Order: sequence, then C-alpha cells, then structure tokens
Amino acid sequence: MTGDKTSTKPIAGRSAPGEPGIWLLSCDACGTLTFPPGAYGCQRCGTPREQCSTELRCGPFVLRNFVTIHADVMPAMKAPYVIGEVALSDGLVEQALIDVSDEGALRIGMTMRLLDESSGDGAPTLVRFTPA
Amino acid sequence: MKNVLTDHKIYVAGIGLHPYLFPCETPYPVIGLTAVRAALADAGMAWPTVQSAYVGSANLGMAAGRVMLRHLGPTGISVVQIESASASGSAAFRAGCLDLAAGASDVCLVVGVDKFGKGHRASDKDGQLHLSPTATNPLVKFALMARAYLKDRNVGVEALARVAVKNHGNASLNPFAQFRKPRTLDQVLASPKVAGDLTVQQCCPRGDGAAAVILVSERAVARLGLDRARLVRVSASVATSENLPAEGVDPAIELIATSTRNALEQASIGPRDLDLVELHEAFSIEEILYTEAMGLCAPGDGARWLQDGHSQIGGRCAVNASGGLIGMGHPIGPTGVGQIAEIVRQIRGEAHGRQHPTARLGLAHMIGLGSVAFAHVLEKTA
Repeated sequence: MTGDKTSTKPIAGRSAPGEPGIWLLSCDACGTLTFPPGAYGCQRCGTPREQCSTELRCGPFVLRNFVTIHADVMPAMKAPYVIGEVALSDGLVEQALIDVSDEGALRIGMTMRLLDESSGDGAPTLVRFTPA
Repeated sequence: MKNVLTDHKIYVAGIGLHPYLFPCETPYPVIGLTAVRAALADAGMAWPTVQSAYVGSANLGMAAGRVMLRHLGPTGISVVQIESASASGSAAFRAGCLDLAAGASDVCLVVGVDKFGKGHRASDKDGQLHLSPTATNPLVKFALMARAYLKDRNVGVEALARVAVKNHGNASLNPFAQFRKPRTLDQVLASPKVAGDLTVQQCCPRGDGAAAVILVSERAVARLGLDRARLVRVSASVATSENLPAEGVDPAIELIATSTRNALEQASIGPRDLDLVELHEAFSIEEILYTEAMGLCAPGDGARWLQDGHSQIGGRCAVNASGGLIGMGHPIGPTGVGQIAEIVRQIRGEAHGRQHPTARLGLAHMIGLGSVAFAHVLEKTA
C-alpha cells in the first residue's frame, strides 16, 4: 500500500481491510526504507522526503532482541516494562514497547503483532507489539 | 589520510583537574578555575602566556568559558565553547590541536567543565516520532547491546561485571575519581538492576567536574624554554560521525572501529602498540565491545581478554587506568579532557599508585550520544 508523497504521516495506521501497520518512508531513488516516515530524507541517500513515498507495513514483524527496564529511567514510564528490537522490514530494526508482563514469554525470532488500540479516527494511538 | 599533526608538532605541556563530584552547590567557575590553575602551574606558565582557549561543556549554557575565565584577568584572547555531548571535552581538545597546527596560536588552554544538568538532547527536538520513548536513551541501547553480546558469545553476566570491578578498582587509586571504593564481583552483581543485565554499579554516575590541559606548538617549546622531558606529543587527532554500515554491523561499533583505525593510521601504529587506552564505558558492555572494535583483541574475545588481565594496569594495555567513566565519573564536558590528562600523567610516569609500567603510547577515545567520535593518540617524546 503506497501513500501520498508529501504529507507528514503518523507512525502507525491501518490498511484498507483495517489491519494495523507501521508507516515507513520508501525512497523513490534508491529503494531504501526509513523509519520514522516523517524523516526529512532517505537514511541512505538523503533524497528529500517530498521525493519519497510512504508505505504501510502490516508485518511480518520479527523480534530481534529484548530487555526488561527495571528502573524509572524515562519520566513518563513506570518500570518494570519490556523494550524490544523489532524488525519492521529487512534491515530496518527499531526499539519498541513490548506488551508482556514478563520477558520470559519472549524468544528471539518470534513473530510479533502490532496491538490494535485505536482512537476514534481508527489510527492506533499507542504503538506496542505482542507475540503473534 | 592527511595528518596535520605530522607537519606541526603539538604537545601537552600541562594538566590539571578538579576531582569529579556528585552534583553539588559549588559554582562551576570554582571547579573550573581549580583545574585551569593546576594546568597552568603544571606547565609552569602564567595565564597571560595563553593565546587561545577552548571550553568543552554540555550543560552550563551560553558563554560559560568567558564567564569563568574572566576571573583570571582579561587578556583579550579567543574563547570558544564547544558542545558534542559526552565528547564535548574531546571536541574542544581537537579544536585546540587544530588551532595550534594552523598557526593561529602557540599556547592554548583546553578546559572541560560542567555541572549536572537536564541533559537536553537535540534528538528529542527533531520533530520525529519514535515507536518507543526509549529510542534515544543510551542506557536502553547499551542494555540491548549487552543482552545481544551475552547471547551471541554465550558468556554470563559476570563478563559485564568484571569491567566495573576493574574500573572501580582503578578509580579507588585515583585522587580525582568520583568513586574511591573498590568493588567485588559479588557487590557489582548484587547492586540493583537498572536495565536488562546492567546493574547500577556498571553504569557511570552523574556529576560535576573539571579538567584542563595546556597545549603548545613546537615554536612555543623553543620560545618558552619548556622542559621536553615533561611534554607529551599529540600524534593523531580524528573526528568522525555515524555511518550506515553493512547489515548486521551496529553503527556504534562501526563508529568506534573507523575512528580508531583512522587515528592509529595517522600515528603510524597498530592497536597492539598501545600501552594505554581511555575509552567511553558509560555502561560496562561498552568496554568489552570497544576493545574488540579497536583491535586490542580479536573479535569476540573482549570478555576473555579482560578476564585474563590484559586490560589491567600492568597488563598488555591498561584500559581506563583512571577508573573510566564508571569509576572516575562522567561529568560530560570534562570527561574527554580528563582522559587526556590521565594518559599524559601515565606517560610521564606520575600516576602514583596506579602507574602502568610501560606507558609510551596512549589512545583517548570518546563518543557523543553514540553518534560522533573523537580519537587522539598521545606519545612519549623523551
């Protein structure tokens, strides 16, 4: 699914069938995918965002790594919680909140699902992943 | 690679520090001027001899250098403030080296001074959204790297803790260090967990501090009649930033490897020639990863290399003989300048109580928010 070339996209959205996904910036010059979709240029060749497309990826998302945060190191987040590294596409890995109560429920390589929490306009409001 | 420091010999002629402190009420000029006056005394110079000044600071605000240095008496010299996150002091040191190499001045003060601040980051103001609020937090990044390393290398959490044991031990021998207590492996492992497998004693403290050095050109050495036996030459200065490496290579590791390789090439030496390395281990895993990336040991051997004692004072290459960021402290602006001071002290043979026996070549290496790197090689001259 390809979006318009100029708008500043939110990081999550829904496909036409209503499946939640992550927006990526797709470079029309070199084909590289960049996250976040609002990046001001392609992370590889620097082509301006206005000359790139946006693309909604609904998976598969793969868990590459994870840790539990034990202390309150972020003002807005109460520990403990789990942070993972999730592959959004080949070679594009981002930190993300993982919605599990115990990291023992996770294993590297497992497929993750984007949690479907949405506001009235249908876009996911809190981006979290959980084992599929 | 062109090295302006080959054609233009630059030396460190004086060093001075204020002990690194937990956040305190002491005004920063008191801390900073202590280091500056100590460096001037160490170089045997009066303030009016200094022709330029570079100030590394990340938290103090605008024009911190002039506000502090005016208390030494006005001389009308150039005072430039430089911020590059954790590497602010290293960036100021490089600017001082290039100033002298360009012939703009012959005697230069480099001072890092800071007080604990709010740590405002540009990456939080770039208008970009992240999947996780932790996306720009170094602790979380390195906790993830630690977890991946332990899994990939099939080693236990003790491998991380040994970094802290060594560096707290070195810091206990350093009168300028923030922590002065040696820690056992059990103590490090039993301290509260912060993120992933990192415990609090494997993380650098917050704090205040200052470190200063006096740089001189070859021309100034002759003009001022300086004692060459106490001069330490800066034989390489490199600055790089994060690149997009091949898939599977962490950009931070590529950053360390490239900047170190470039610095060693400038100095015409290899990694195994180094006697001393001061590096950025805000979190224990960094020292293991970076000793591998720098080529001090083989890839994958970092934990074993440390456990075998090769990075201890008296080992093949003393890594963080000062106590590093974990033990000596990491007040941000001063940290990179403090690394230079430690290597100079070691090369002079003046690191009483923690002297590395064969100290001729040292590497000072800092990163700033994991995305910029500065590397300097220092060399015994006499």
